[in-house]
Amino acid sequence: MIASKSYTYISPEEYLEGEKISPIKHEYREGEVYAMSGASKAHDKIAVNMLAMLSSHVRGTGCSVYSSDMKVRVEAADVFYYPDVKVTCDARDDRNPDEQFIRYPRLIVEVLSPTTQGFDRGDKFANYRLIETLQEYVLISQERMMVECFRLNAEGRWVLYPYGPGEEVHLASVEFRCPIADIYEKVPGFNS
Amino acid sequence: MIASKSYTYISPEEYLEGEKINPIKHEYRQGKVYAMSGASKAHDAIAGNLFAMLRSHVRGKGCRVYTPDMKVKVEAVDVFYYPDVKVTCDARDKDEVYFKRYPCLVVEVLSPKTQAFDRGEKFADYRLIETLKEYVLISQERMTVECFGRNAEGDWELYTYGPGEEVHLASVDFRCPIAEIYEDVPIMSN
Repeated sequence: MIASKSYTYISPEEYLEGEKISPIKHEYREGEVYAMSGASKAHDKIAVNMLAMLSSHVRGTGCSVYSSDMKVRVEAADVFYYPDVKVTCDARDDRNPDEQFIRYPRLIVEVLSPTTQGFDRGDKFANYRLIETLQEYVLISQERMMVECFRLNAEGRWVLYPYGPGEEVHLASVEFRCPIADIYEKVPGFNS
Repeated sequence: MIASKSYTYISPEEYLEGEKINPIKHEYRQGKVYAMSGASKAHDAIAGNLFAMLRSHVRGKGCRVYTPDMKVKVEAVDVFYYPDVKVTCDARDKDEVYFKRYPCLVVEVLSPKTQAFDRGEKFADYRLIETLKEYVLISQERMTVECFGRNAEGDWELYTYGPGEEVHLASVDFRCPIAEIYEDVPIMSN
């Protein structure tokens, strides 16, 4: 969701302080801060559908689902992002309730948009791959019924599982399954 | 490499006829034609390096390497693309003059404008080519090669290579230090 950038070096601490009071969200990459643009109705509805289904699915399991208001910090790459949906099952993410970010997600979901999909598929995915606890990275199209799930296999490699119309999406990281149509329920442009 | 598009429906046959005489190249997607923009020096140097190495590697093995001037047709989705480098080892491709249909390896050098398409829709289209075993994306901004290979289950597995590593393209059993892919590439000369 990266849009415009400012050119002065900003430390992670300054960035986090700024985010507490800033009326708009920013992502952070190695000293630079990028304002995030607003989402389309379709983008938001897809994210809300995923949040709702995943929240009820993980209830009582020790895992937590977060929306795009929570940051993910990738320390190894010196970045903070706001993925649309993420799930952490790691107790280290519960230790400090005042922390404005999580560090150990197991599942990250980004809803694609035309302006950011190159970044989501490229450098952002490369950064997320540095998160040791991450098992799945899921990209959801808002242009057609398509979910691309990158899943870490036993050899430590990322394998692509694409899902299209009529298929059942499987997110192995949290043992979640649903018809792809449920992800697109009431999304403008995908009615019936 | 898709840049601008025209809106009249064009048949595959009309497109192929047009490409024979057109001074600039176009890619084709389901009735629409997209003019291709020119490449940067870095883009061209990377594609040239890989082409030269692959050509000498497959010589005498019944495979052919093609430059960006040869099209690849993906029949299942009615598209023609001009990948930067591709290798076919399939006898069925011998008689096709203007395009190839059975590549085992397709390589795209990424550029900022087209990387979303190369990583997304175009990759989805290429995945429909039964003979394709590897799809390789090469960055021109930093030394990174991402190689998607089809595994034993038929799923696509990502292999990434960075500075100091040896790139392995299993589809044609080719290995080289990543630095050779970036040899004499403007921005990469430390």
